[in-house]
Amino acid sequence: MYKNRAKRGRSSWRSELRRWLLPLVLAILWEASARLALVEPTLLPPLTQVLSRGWLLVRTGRLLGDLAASAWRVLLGFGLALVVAIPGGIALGLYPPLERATALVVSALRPLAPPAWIPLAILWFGIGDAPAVFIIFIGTCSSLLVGTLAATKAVDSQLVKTSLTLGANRWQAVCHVILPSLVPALLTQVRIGFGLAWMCVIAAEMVAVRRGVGFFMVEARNLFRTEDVLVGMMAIAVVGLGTDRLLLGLEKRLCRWRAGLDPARLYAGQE
Amino acid sequence: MSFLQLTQISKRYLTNGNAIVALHDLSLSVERGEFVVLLGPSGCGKTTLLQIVAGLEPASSGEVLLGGRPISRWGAERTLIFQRPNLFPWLTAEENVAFGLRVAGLEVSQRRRIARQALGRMGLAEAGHLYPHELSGGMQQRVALARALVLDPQVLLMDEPLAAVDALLRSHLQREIRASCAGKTVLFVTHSIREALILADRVVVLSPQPGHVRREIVLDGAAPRPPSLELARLEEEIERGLVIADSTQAQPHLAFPQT
Repeated sequence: MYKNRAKRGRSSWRSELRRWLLPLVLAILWEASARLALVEPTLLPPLTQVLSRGWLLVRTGRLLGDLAASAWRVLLGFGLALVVAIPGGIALGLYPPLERATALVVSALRPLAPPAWIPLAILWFGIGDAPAVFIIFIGTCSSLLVGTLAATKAVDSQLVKTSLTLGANRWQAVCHVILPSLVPALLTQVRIGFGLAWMCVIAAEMVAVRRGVGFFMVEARNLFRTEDVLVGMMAIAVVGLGTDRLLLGLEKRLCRWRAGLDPARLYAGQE
Repeated sequence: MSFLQLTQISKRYLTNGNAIVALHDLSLSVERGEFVVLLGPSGCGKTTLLQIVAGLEPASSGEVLLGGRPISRWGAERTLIFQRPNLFPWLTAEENVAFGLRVAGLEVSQRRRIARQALGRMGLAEAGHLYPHELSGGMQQRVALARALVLDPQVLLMDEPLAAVDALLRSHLQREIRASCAGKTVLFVTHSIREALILADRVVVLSPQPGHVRREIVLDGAAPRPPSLELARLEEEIERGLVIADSTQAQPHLAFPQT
């Protein structure tokens, strides 16, 4: 028992090391290649220089202001997409005639990359928050819809039937069986969608908006401030990583009931 | 007029453009408090028949009367227990048992108390807080049984609930099913002749393609019955009858697995 715990303690320390090893190596490579002038420093400034520049931009509030502007658009556009696509996907999944009626439109719209909407968004909404929010909405909505639809169709029909013979009506079957069944798949959809939403907002801000991380990066490029371009990229990466961790934690909490695949146990039998 | 009355039930459906007759003119009556076992090989429409009585599938023709009134769609008064326990994996054992009470609108404290008692009667008092994946197959099926019984259905429908359970556990669960269903009207489906003879007040033997009633056997004595020479003889006789009947069909042996 105690031995076990000790072993687990050591292995968690090791796995922590393993997690940070690759980022550390990459950081050192970056720093070294810049310092040793293996690459042109104006094209790839050393990591420490980028970090200190980033810290300065955080302290002056410039970076956080732009980040907040981008995050606000992401929340708005993606929130709107969730509100439309999740009930919509469930409805399409539960009512096949509706799915058939919308199938062509949905599959035709999906391959249109979000940047393809930018010209139209500017024509319709001008410059500002609106075109960015619109592009995020358009860019995430259809894939969310398709994901929700597929997950709804994969719900175990026997569970639904079971709920009916236990006295549930149709609406209760949706609320008490179909929705809880969808939670794991929907959380995955949200994780993927968030990444997509950040791509959309950066693309939109590079042309259609006067604030935000995307705009900050374009401006930095115009002034040939490579550090600032990299600071912008790192800011997006950090926010993306943070959101993903948050959603993973939520998934762990909400999906405790799942048996799941435990690779450690799977391989244990082969020892 | 019997408590549960099935009159000339037929069920036809289309598969790949071929019309399949699953049930043909099947009539059956079940008295209140009777434990009737429907026995038959795969493909005789037993499951379809239960789904029709449960209201999950409409009959092509015929009528199902419960207490003299035609059944409407599905409802808790005709609860169906499937071969798979079908517990809701996101609910604990106790919440699973309380599911029917919850959709019926009972208060939390009340349904929790009832669910706990029901689990206790199944010998699962300690398992209430566990999720289905933490329970063994036999425990899951007992939770499913408790979940149906707390609703006190007018008819309890069981579709081979023990088919996936190992032999040792099966005889234990057979005893438990009969004990917990005392006085209840039950329609129980199985393809095991022995199980039918152990459990039933009356065995209804179905023949396949299309499903219809071949014969009915009323058994006396309290069920579940211990093994006896008489039961063994009866088992053999039913089996022979079915094999002879099936020998005109394409796949006589596949149609009737041994237990």
